[in-house]
Amino acid sequence: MNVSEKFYLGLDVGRTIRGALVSADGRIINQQKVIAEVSDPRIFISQLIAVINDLRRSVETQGRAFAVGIGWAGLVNQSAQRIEVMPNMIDLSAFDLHDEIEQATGLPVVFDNDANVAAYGEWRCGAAQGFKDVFFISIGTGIGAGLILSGQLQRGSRGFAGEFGHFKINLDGLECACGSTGCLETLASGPNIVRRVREQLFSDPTFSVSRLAMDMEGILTCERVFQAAMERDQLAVGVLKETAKVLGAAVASVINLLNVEVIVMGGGVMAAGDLILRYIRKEVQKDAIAQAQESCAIVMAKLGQDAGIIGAALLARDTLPE
Amino acid sequence: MGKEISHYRLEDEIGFGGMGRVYKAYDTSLDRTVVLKLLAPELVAEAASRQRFLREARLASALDHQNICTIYEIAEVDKQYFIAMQYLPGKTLKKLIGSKPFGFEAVLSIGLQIADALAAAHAKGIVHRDIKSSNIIITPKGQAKVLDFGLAKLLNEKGRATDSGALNDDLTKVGSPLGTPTYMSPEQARGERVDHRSDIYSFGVVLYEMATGRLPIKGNTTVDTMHAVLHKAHKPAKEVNANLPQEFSDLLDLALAKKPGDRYQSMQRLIEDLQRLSLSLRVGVPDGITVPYVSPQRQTGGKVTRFINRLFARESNAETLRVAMPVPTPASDGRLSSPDSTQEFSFTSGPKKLLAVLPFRNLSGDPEADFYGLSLADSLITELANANQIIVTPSSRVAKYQNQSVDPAEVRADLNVDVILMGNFLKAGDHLRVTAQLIDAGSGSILWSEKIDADIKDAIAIQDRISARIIAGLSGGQRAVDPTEMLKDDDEMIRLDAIHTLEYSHDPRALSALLEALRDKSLKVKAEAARVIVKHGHQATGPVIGVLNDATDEGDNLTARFAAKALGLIGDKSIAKVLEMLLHNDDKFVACEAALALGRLGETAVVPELLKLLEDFNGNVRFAAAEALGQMRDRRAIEALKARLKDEDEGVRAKARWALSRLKKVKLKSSSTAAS
Repeated sequence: MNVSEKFYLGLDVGRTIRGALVSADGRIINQQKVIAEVSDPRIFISQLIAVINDLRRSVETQGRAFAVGIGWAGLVNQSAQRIEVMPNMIDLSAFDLHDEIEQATGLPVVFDNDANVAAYGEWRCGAAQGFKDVFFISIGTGIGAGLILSGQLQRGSRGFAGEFGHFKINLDGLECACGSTGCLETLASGPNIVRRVREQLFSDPTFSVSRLAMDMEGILTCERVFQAAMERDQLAVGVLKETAKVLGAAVASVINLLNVEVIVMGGGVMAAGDLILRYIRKEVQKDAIAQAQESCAIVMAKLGQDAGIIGAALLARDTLPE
Repeated sequence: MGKEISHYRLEDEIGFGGMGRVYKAYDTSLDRTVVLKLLAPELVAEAASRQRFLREARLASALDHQNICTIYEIAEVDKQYFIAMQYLPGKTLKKLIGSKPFGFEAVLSIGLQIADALAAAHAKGIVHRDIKSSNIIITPKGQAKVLDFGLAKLLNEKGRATDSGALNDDLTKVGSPLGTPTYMSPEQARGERVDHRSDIYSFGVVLYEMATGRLPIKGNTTVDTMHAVLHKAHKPAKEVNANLPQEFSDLLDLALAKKPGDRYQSMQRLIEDLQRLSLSLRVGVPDGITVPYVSPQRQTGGKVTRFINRLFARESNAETLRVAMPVPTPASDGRLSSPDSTQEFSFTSGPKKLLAVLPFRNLSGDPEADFYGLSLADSLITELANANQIIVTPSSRVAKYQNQSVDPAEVRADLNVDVILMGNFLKAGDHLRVTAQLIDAGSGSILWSEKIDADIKDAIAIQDRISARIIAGLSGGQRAVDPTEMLKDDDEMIRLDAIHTLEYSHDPRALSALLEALRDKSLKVKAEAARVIVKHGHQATGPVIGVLNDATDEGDNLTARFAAKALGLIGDKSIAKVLEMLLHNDDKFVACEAALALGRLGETAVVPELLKLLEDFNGNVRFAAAEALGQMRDRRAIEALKARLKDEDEGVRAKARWALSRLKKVKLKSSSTAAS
């Protein structure tokens, strides 16, 4: 056994704290998942530290963890390494988390936005491997994106770049969690897909064609909607097509703006797979400039939910001193 | 006596029957005399049956009408359920009739009052089920009061029917639930599900009794009478009392039709006919008993108001006749007939008919099969163009209707045609099923309908075959097809066709047929029926509540859901109380629909109830409550909605955010108003 093997810790922090111990070539060695305690910042911070310490201890006999990367579901001030906003979750703006975690673990730490680290993961060892100009989109509870241009992760002047979910798609749309209205997220994020399905169930007298309507118990989730769509449920297919339409329009704008080589689509919503990707491609074909579109592939993410933890670990590997 | 129950002091026992004991009592808190019905414990022993009873009785207690005995309270003390109701001095209609006919004026005026009471109840989905002359009291001031709304069903369920010999016509002696079989509609006698049309039959019996002094159907025993109700025709009223106008006798025939579909389809139509009769006969002040001339609702005001009322009645009749609704119109034999359902149609006689053959609708969901729709229509147009009695609209003018749901009246206006041939086709593998209907463009009724199954391998042969069948069908004299019969077909496609036709039909039986389709076993048929029912608007409210209640009683949750959805989408403010009760329905979908409907109606009185639902364990209910609260924009909901921003259900979180954004706008609006 090589006891001097190098490991890196990657964390993806949202309502769930996911942590992994990752090898230098991007393989997950060990991982942990904890439901975040959002009611008390102190408990939340101790949860983070516990995950890091548990994971690093798990490989003590094989090697050593060298650095920690954390992707946050919120706005990260890149230069100050502070969490400015975590929408609908917890207010951490008053804490110097970066310093606190470094002191508690004795490891160097890097913070970034969760979509950025996932983009990094897909670029380093996922669907975008080998490309230089990449746009990664993550569609889940919220919608985020990471941009890699000329082989460099782009964060903008203060680290807030890539807020793809807040593209204004409807001038008179619903209020968004960001305070604006009509953002892409208000139509295409997981919660909003579920909301639209429910609204149709309740407002359309022909709802019965959907098996969704027949089961009114339990929680209606995006996964159930997709499952129903795969079984050709008319309502679910309809909602999925509408979602693809708005996503397709937004993706076409990105292609027109950045002329990237590849668009990688990941996150919980994309678990619908080809079913939704097919419709998105169709919409992009209609909306994007032909020349830019021809040179751009739209592909599914490869690492799934692991993109964030792998990306965070590899970002720590590549950016922090050992 | 002197025993007290709650705040009632019992005075005299005034009746005893299947439902329990009845007392004249004194309400010590409100200082008034009331009638107290103490329900027999076995009637409400079962929890489910008790719940149903309470629901029905509370619904009935919401009826506020001058010709309905008011229910003050339904309550329970020490497991004794009781109903407190208005004390009414007076006599039962049964006693007043005795065995002599009333003067015709009195028949009309009392009849109109009872009919008005029933129409009001039907509009709220309440079917009386036990209308008879002993359940109607005439006060000394001449006002008719109908008793015991919502109570008969409980007795029916418990099978406490007594034979006719045990009946007591004293109104205070309650009971006789299924009671007098002579008043029972045939469907009720068969033990089938009944709707408001059963009350129309029973009301017809009461009218007949008043007008002739006799019952239309009689037998020596209960069984004998029930057999007669089912199988024997009544003697026309005019033959019993020669003084009656023929029109009135005909009206009774229509009310007493054995099949519900052949009867008046709504009490409102019957009222309109009674009013028309009273106007045409220039009925004056009633004789015999002192009763108001017409329904008090229509009689307020002085001469001018009466004149206006009469004018309105006339206009309403004119409209009714113009659109050929179910009002009986004199036929050649002088009898009344319902025009739509019996008319005969033929292409081989009379003037040339203008016909449009619309492209057949593709139900396969396979766009590649679309061409069959146009080519079938095209080949029919070519074939039919050779027929002497028909002028066919060319294909170029009908192509735009491909795969459209069309209103025959619009096609008629657009293409100027008398009749329309339309249909659907379903392609499954090598099999093609085509349904075709010939529609009277004016009335929307189906003149002819056919289903053809064929093998797809030889497309030309199919077209020839279909053309031949359709031309053969068109050539013969055809009676209008009864859409209610089509709804009984085993083939789901035919039933769906029937609903699509009913969507634009003026057939008076359309709504009843659609309500029946709501109970169909196919979800598609249910859904389509609900969609079309919503188009009927407020007039469908009462009957839909009836379906909902029956379905709930029968544990048929799917039908209850569709009924609740239709009800919510109709959005009738008058049924807010019913919707409020539905918030507590065991089926969560029904509860959701009620919450959403209340939200749309802006019923802020239910905000506390909705706040409770916002904590329900079912995510769909929390979603519906958040939606309703957002619609209402009531600021009491702010804190509860904020808590939902962390809901485990992602859809609820999004909806709570939406609702809060609406509330925030109200806050901004009100503060800007204050600033200005």
